[in-house]
Amino acid sequence: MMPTDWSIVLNLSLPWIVVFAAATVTLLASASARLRTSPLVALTALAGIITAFVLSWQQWISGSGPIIATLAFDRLSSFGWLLILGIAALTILMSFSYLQDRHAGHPEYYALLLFSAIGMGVLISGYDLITIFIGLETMSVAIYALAGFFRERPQGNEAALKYFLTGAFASAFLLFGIAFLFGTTGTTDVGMIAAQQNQVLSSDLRSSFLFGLAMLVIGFGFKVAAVPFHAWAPDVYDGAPTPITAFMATAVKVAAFIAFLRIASAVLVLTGVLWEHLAWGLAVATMLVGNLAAIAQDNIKRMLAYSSIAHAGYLLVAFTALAQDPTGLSRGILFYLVAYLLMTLGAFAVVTATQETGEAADINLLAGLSKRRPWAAAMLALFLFSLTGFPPTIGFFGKYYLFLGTVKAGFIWLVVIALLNSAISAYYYLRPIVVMYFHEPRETEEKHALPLASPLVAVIAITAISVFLFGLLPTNLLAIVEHSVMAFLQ
Amino acid sequence: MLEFVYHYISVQTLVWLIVALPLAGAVFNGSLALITAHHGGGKDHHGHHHTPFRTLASTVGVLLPFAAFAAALLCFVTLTGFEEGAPSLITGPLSQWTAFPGLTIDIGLKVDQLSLVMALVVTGVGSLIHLYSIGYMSHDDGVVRYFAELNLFLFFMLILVLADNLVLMFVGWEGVGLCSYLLIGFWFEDPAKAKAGTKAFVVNRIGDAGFLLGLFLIYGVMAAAGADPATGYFNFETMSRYAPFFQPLATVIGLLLFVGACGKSAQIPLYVWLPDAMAGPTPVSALIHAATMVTAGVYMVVRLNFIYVLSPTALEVIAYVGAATALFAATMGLAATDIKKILAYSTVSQLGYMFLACGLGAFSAAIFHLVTHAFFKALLFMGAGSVIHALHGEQDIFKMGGLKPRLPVTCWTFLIASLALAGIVPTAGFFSKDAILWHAYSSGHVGLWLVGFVSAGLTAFYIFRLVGAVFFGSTNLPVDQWKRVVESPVSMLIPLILLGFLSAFGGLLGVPEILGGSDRLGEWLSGVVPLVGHAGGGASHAAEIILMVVATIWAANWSILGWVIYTQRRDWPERMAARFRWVYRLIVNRYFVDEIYDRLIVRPLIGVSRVFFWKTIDATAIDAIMVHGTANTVGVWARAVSLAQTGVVQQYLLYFLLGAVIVVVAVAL
Repeated sequence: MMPTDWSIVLNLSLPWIVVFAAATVTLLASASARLRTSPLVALTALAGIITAFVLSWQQWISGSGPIIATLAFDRLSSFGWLLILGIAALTILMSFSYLQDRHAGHPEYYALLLFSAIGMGVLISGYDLITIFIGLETMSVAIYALAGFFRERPQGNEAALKYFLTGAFASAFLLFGIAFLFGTTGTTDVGMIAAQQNQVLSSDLRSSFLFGLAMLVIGFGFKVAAVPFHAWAPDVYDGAPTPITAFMATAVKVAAFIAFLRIASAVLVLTGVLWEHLAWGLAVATMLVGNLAAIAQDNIKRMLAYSSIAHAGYLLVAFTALAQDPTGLSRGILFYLVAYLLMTLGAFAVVTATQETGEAADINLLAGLSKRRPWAAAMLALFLFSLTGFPPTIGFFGKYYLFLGTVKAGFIWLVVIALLNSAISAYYYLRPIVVMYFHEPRETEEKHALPLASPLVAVIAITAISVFLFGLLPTNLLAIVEHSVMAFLQ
Repeated sequence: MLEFVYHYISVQTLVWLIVALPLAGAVFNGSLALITAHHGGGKDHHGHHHTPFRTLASTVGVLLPFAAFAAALLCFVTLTGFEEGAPSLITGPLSQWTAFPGLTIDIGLKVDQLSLVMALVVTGVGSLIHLYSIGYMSHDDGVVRYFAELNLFLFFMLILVLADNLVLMFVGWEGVGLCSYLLIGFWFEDPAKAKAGTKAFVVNRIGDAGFLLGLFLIYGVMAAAGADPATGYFNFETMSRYAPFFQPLATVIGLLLFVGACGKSAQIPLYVWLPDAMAGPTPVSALIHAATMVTAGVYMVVRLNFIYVLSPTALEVIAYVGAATALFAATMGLAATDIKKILAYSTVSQLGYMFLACGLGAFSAAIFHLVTHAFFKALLFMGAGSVIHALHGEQDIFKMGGLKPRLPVTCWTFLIASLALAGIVPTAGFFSKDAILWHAYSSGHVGLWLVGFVSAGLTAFYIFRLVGAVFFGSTNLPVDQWKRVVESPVSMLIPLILLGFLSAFGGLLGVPEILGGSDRLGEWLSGVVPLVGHAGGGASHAAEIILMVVATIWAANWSILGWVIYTQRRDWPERMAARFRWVYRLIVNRYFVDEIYDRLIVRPLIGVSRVFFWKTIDATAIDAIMVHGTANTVGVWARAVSLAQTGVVQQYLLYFLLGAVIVVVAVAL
């Protein structure tokens, strides 16, 4: 093995170092009582993220880097990391007024957010199962803490504990799987496992190797909330602070799915029919349970939780066909992730806006929102239409590319099921729109709401414009996604 | 002058200007109507209605049709200046509508002898009726919408006659149907009028179904003939080049298309909508339901003569349907008392003559009668409109009477048109009707000739019954009201006078050789429609003269009878009606055709629709079982699935474990 050139590693991981530095500075600020409530804390965190974003963008432009020190510095990593940083920036903007309204100015909050983001970066870039596991845990531990951030709220504590318990359970499976893979192949490097796979599969270690892979799938299945490893999601999404829910529903999923995409295209697809059947089953179960349970929800955060489960199901549809057309489907998956994160973040931002200073998220509370906050109502409607998959929103093209690739790969019935599920989803996505526009508000509610905080407005505006713009002109984004995918598949 | 025009405008441009100008008017007035829709009509401090943009809408709405007429006239002048035998012009595809492999449809216009005649009539008579409308609609608040719809009608009618292919013609065909529907129900606040519009629309749909089937068959024939799809299967040029291939299916195609013509041109059995269509404003009746749209069926048959000549059977059917309609509608005209309904039955009857001519293969005679009929029937309707306008909406001819001194211009022009309708020498109607009857006789269809002859007598009687009852004799109006009746404004009288001239002298277009003329229209059309072989020879010349004289005496006789009875012996008809009560009841109730259709078709259809399609299929099977059933099933599953979400984390882990077992079993074993 060649000795590692650490200067290259240092150079390539500079964006992480910047974020790490920002997180540390933010954390140190919590020592000063005066700084604790200062907007400077959030600004520092934001500055760190923006710097890292610019650096990563340059890395993306300069092309794919090497796989070095168990990390892959290819364009897929840069792209995924850009998405994570974008989500983190928007979450910080969303959190700012959220925390202020609740008289909580906690530097730890921002620090945890940044640490979690670094974990995601490692997860995305990881090219070794151990590194991936470390990234996953770094991400998760920070999120556990964030979910229960408001210690005085019992729901928050419940969410954090449930997430932690089930997360620990899932981590055990993942580790167990990694152990089996190491035991059968003698390595944890993804590329080397892939290289040995055919040989192992034809030996008497076949069952043990497949067992290890199954455990790996279960571990990731938990993180992306695939049925039946999803049960934690609605409770945790419901109990966590809304901006953290948004972060969980988008960043965690994006990171886990990109890492999973890397492993799936390197290793899993080689098992052929076996993987197709497994993914088929997972996809159908995830879509059905997610969509059906979403219908029965009266709480918009829980509804969006099930919606995110359903969207994981749509993504798994493309994973099923991954072996047939790796480029086309990876492209579809990445495009869908961008679409999904934009519309979900936007929807959660509007939910944050409607919660005012409380935590209530009952759908019926949206009654009359179209008069109280016409813009917010219109934007929520846009996001919900996009989540349903109406043109001309990004949600339409997301589903289009995803399902088109799967149909071309020959999984017609799977796409038929997915489209039927999409039809079911229209019911619960349209319900809040009906409530906002056609239900009279209860009389006790004030007719005119206070103006929204400008950072929150910025989040809604950015996501709404993106959802609409990429819905009209998806080609630029598609080109970026395509370049990101090509490098890692070679 | 012409040189000056040609310097700026090519003939091609002129052709599409004919179509584009009315469209511009429709767009302009339509926009105005939309802008003013929210204002509604208000009353100013004098208590007068005022509609914003009334003058603007009327000016634009009238000037553009006149401009279109000028363009058509220029086209005519230019094309007749061409080399002998080539007075036609095809613009070629102005735009491509659809281009599939195997089906190309272009948007192109074709100006030839036939379409030019039609375009001149449509724009000429149409412009006059637009001008007339200013006065007639001066008290109506919907005038902007009115001109928008009337302009739109003109646009679609011109598309219909100028289209260079059958599909584009069908676009115009449907477009005029739409405008007809809109204008019949122009006063849609009155449910009866809205219903009349719907009836016209629905009955026309039946005909259109036939038209569409005919189109499909034509496609099949052209495809089987191996025509090049790129040239457009429906292009008239292409179709006529492949005419021999239509031989096996000519009867079916011809009859299916004729079903469409029956709907549009109100022939048996689909004529029932036209009398009800009189619910629209009277200028609309004049333009759409007399002069232009209803003749579209005749035009279509003449345009497709190369298919029809292949099928003697189809022509026979057309001739008999036309003759039957001519007679049948004329009898209904005898007993009607509504001035517009009488004219409506008369229109149905005259359209029957035109189809009779088509059926005899005398296509140019059909077009000749179409043209003269456009003149005198538009005049009759506008005269009737003038009377109705002067009497503030009264339409019962027996509540009028003695109006000649009060409405002199209306009366004299109406009289000219009536002479033309009755076919009295030397008015326009005489020459055109005689041409048809002569063709019937000379081609050996004596039975058809006799039907036409009898109908001509009835026609003369009912129109002079109307003239006598309305303009002459003693008045049935209260004297003071009679004294207050005043002639219509000049803008309404100018069209009457101009059309009066055309009704009187329009026959000069087709004076037969026997009377020293040269049948100029027939000659002009000979390049497009086949000349039917006349039974030549001296003996038939004598017969032609004899028949002409007999016909004139016959018509004059009935005219005088009608006039005399209804001016001086107004009690006779009542006694006659009492004497032949059952005949009278049959006719006055229009042979109960509407009732028969209602019992035989409408009610059973509604019954089946209500019980089977609505209650069983829609309400039970689709709504209750499929829609709500699906929703309920999904709802039950949704509750079932969310029941699993107990909130107990141990259970979540159990699901997790069970799932893990399944995954492991599925993958590793």
